[in-house]
Amino acid sequence: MLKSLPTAHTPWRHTAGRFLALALVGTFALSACSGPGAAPSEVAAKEFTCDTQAASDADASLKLFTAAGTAEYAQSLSDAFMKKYPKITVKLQTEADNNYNTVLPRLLASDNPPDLAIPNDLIGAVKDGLVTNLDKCAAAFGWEKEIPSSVLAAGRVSGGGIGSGSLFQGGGASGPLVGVFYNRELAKRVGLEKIPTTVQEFEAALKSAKDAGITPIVASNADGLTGHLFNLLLGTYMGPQDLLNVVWRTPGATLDTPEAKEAAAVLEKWADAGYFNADANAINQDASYGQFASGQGLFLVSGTWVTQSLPKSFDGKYGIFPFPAKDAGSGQVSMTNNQLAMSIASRSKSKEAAALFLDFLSTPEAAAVASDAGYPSALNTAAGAGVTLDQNIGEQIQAGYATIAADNGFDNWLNNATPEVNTKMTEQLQSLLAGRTDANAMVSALQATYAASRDK
Amino acid sequence: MTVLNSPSARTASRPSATAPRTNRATASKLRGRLPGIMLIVAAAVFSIVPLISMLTAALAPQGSIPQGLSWPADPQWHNFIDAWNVANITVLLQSSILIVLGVVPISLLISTMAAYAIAVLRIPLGRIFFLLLLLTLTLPYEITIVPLYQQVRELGLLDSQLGLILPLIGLNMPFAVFWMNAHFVTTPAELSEASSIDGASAWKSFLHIHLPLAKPAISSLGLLMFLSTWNTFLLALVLINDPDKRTMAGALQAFQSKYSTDIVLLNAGALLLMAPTIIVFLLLQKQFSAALLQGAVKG
Amino acid sequence: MSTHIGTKDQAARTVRVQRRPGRRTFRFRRWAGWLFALPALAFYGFFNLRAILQSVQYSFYEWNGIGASTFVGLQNYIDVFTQPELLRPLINAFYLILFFTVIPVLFGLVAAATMRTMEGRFTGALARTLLFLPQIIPGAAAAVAWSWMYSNNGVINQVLRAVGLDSLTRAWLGDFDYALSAVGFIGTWLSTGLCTLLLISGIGKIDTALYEAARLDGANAVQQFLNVTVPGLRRELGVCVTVTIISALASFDVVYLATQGGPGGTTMVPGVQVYLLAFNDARLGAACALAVVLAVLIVAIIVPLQRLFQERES
Repeated sequence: MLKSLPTAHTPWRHTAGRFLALALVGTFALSACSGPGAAPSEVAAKEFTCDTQAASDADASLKLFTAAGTAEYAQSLSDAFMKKYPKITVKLQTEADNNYNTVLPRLLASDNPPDLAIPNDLIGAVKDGLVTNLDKCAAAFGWEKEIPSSVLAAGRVSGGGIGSGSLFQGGGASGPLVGVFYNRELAKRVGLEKIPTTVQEFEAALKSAKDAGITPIVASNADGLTGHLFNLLLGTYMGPQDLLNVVWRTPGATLDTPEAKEAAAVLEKWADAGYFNADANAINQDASYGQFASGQGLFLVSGTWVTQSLPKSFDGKYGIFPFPAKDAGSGQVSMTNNQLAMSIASRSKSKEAAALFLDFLSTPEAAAVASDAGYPSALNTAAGAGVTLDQNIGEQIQAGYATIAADNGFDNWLNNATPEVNTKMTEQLQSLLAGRTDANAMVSALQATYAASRDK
Repeated sequence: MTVLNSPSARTASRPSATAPRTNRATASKLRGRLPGIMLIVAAAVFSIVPLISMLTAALAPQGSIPQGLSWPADPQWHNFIDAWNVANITVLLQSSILIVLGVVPISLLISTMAAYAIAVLRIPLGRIFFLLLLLTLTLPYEITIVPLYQQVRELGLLDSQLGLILPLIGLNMPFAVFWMNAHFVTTPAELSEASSIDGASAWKSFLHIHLPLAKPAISSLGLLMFLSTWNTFLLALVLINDPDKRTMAGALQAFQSKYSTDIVLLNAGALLLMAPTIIVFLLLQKQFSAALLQGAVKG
Repeated sequence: MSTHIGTKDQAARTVRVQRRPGRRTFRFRRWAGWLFALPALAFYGFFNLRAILQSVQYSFYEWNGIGASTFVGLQNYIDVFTQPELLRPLINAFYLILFFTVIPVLFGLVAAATMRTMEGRFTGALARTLLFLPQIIPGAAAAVAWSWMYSNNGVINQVLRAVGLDSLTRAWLGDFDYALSAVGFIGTWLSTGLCTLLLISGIGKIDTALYEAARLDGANAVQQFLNVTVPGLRRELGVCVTVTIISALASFDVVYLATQGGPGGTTMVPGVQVYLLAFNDARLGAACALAVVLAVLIVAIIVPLQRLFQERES
């Protein structure tokens, strides 16, 4: 576009006046010409074969894009990788958590993209040609044998949906557990004697906290993060597969179901009962961590990545349990996203080295790093005896993860369905918490946004 | 956008300058103005309360839950040192200074030259250029931000200070040329005459006659541009992903979302981030006041 | 705005042209003057004007900023005026004028009228400094400061509790009914000082003889205010109103850092919506359409206002 500015081909002998006129006319003409954003230009047309033989001994530099909240983890992963492949350096590129999704597509499309990233909108990234097809890597690294097909499915994209087709995200299999964090001291004070395993028991715990004058759930909703709880409820009532179908844009998937409305109704009920901190709509996630860590509430519903953000002084004073089941006969559900599976930017200049990194992600060394960061491995989840109140948090995370895995209960965030749904959810959840909308209206609004944006 | 070159019809005389007054008169005058004085005092207090509140919160022990306005029993001044480190103030200061140094001098030079060409040399079509600038003067940044992002990306300058500096210079032009034009139209006609007679010496006369005369206008403009550049937010947010490469104001966003866990550190850091402009303002108060009041009248 | 400058300068030009021999060289030299203006034109044209025109262009397309775009005609504009989440920010922006403009200007007028001149060495200087402070601070910082003021433990709630109005305390920025006004009040904080100082400096320049004359005519204080003070401050009023209306309609940093448009979109303003549409939802066309509508609205309001505040001067 730069070249089409008239300055470049207007000979100077034309008078300056004509030059000016041309400049102006040219600018107008420019805006009248064909639409913006012509077909994306592939940097290297070279076929990517995932042949990493040469890469392990060649000097290379990789850029790994990460959210600030997971930077420490990404650093540990990179360090372990660099120990194994000393010739390759991995640099982190960090972005604030709430900007991660916003910024990533733009970065991947830039001339100097990060080589490795985890795009939340994988469908969009594939459609815009931003990420590399990893089918050859899956074959070369034997992923299909090592990794459960349900885990790999999350990285497959075809026909505008996730779950089948070519692989665009791969590596190992470890992810966070999203559940209920609790303050051990306050739990004792409200007389919580065992981990609640049904929604009914959980609700009783909420009520006893409220009655004791303790805020039952500390939540931040200026950023819409009551979404974690809403998502848990959605998966719990809809069943994880139905929710996944919506998130993965499977044809025919819909949010407009009685179960989804039931889930929203539970959230509405709890909001009406005053189970959230009064300023939830006014604060962001870090402020809610602050409140939780300073003992201003019993529960915090979030994922195990929070352990990296909570103050170190609070270590040992809190625990986590998986979100309770709908009833005694149902399974327990949690969202997760594989923190050991990544995508390679299609404009990356070191795809082979990046593929080597993906191969590394499926090793036990990488799984150990993930586990330390609060991302248990999905590969060896022998179901244990379940979570108990007196376990330390590491044990609770492992046991909780195993519980969900045993119930086949992992799903994903509705936020990841489309960017528009993500934006809409924040607005709707704020309205629900303030009593400005009700469960049915919220689900309808979300479905409308989903339907309008999924096929774009 | 009020036209400045029209001679003011008002006299600037004040009663105090014309008539000697007795003490009694002064006292009664004062009493009459008491409501006004009280209003001003109220407004002044109103202006400072949020900052005081931040200060008291910043001095509370870290990890505690401070209250809006209450002087801590044991002020923790070292909080500022901690905040300095976690907020990466040294790096931000360097980045902000770099951006200001990249934007302000060039903007001043080229806008002064352009205004000189329009108002003194009276270049053909100059009025049209000027009207075009005027037309875009009131347009908000919002209308440029989306294409600017694409443009800076195409130039490969995303995420670099240069990618922020260049657009800022362009966006400064309407106001800057307008400001300098307002100055040049007030310069005596003989001076303008002298410079346009001999075209070859236009540069000389610009350098030796007009530039020195324009010094006060240029320095006021410089202060205003320093302020607006230093406080750039939207552009910094969009064009630079790495908070450490942004302006101080732009970095506030990342800082706020990262350190809300501890209200004490958040307030200490935010105060540090706004301190440089406040300090510069206090040092150059007279110039700032004049520029701001004048700037408002011109802009 | 500058019509009479134009005429004067044209007159001067014709006189000179007639005097000068060798018109060709003269013309050439005049064109050579453009060398002075070229750098400014280049920066302005490339980074400002071009961006504005491209915004207009983008507004007719549906585009995610990365892939290919589709021409959709006026659809984005229809969306702006029919989709509640796009129309509402515009309405909110007008509501903010109350806080950014009306309250500060009225306060400044009353303060100026009762005060007339700002004298007194120390107190005057101190008050001036304090009144200027909000003007110096970036809007982003003001938002952080006020987020703290409005928080559960912040000054506002502290004061309410102190006077026994506990029932009114709330997290102001998270409240559906009050968040927009709370955000607006940050604007009040930002503009009050400047408006007050401007109007006081303006009132000091009004000829006192005018007040004498009005008093002799039997005008009371209110009549003096309406007939002498307000017309005498026309220029300063015009400035206050213009500057603050622009900052109300085009507000971004204050709202973005204080609420991001929440809760439930109650504080969404065009600036934040443009940002979210473009950089969050990847709807660049809709973002540009909203920006264009905003720009047109601003011009449509500011230009008549300029006329109103200037015409009567001559």
